Amino acid sequence: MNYKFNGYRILVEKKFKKIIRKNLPQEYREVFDEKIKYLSNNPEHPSLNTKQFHVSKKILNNLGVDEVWEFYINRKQYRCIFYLSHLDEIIIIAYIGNHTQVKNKFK
Amino acid sequence: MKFVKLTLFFLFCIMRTEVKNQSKNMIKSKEKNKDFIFNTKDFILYILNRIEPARSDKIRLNKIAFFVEFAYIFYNNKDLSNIKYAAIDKGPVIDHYDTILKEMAKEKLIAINGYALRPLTNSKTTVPTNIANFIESIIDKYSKLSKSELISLSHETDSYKITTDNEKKMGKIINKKLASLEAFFCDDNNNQEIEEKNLPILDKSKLVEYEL
Repeated sequence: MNYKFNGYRILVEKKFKKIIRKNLPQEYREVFDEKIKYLSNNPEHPSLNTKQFHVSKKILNNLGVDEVWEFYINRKQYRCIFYLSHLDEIIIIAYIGNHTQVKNKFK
Repeated sequence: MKFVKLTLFFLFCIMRTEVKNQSKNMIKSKEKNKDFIFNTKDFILYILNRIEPARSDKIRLNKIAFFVEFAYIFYNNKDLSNIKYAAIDKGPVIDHYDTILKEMAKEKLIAINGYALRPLTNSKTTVPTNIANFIESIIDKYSKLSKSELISLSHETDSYKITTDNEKKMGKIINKKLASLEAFFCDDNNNQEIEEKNLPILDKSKLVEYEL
């Protein structure tokens, strides 16, 4: 996997803090911040279990991004989906939640 | 007819008592799991009794104890032992392990020969089966690794990295809550990808920097 996005700026939607409060238990919010630091400095860090999604070019064009990835906040329970835009050198946090929340959100 | 009815009634009563007893035992066993915790010396003995004699030494004991306990906390959100782990330049270790091991040798619980350790007795703790199965699988997994592999793996743990100042002697105590960071404990077998058509479209004009 090509992890060439260390040092990218991390962006979120303005309403993202509300999503964190809604979907992530208090005890994992600090963990999430730690993981975001790793994502920015060392996306290959073993604690992230970072993985690229296989997404078609058509969908990537619709999303306006180059790649779609995820990392684990806490074991398999909570995960974070993020997009990459290489031209802008940005990581966009798209969603966080547990399996059920993610499944319901995207179903 | 009356006799048959009476027999059936007695059988029913016996079955009901057995079911009640079974559920009581299940509740007791769950409660036992909930309250279960090793004391330091018994946890050390349990590990040493499980490691092959040829691979039983101070480094392996320290690293395996750390991995077992943190994997247990990772999956169960509760401590396995009352051991504290310190971050030193060789990675996470049992806090004051040398003093504890010397004490155990004096009490004839273990034998120390340089770096090699051997248990002279079994752990006195009765470990619930499901906990024993969990612990033993982790001990078996990590005891197969070489000492240098164990050291380098333990250096890679988030809980260690966050805590350490690379102290040569006993360093800061690692907060056991940090075990939740160690995602490498989970296997990758049941990974489900989200269908690509369901990925959220974000409005780039509404994006802001994430503030840590």
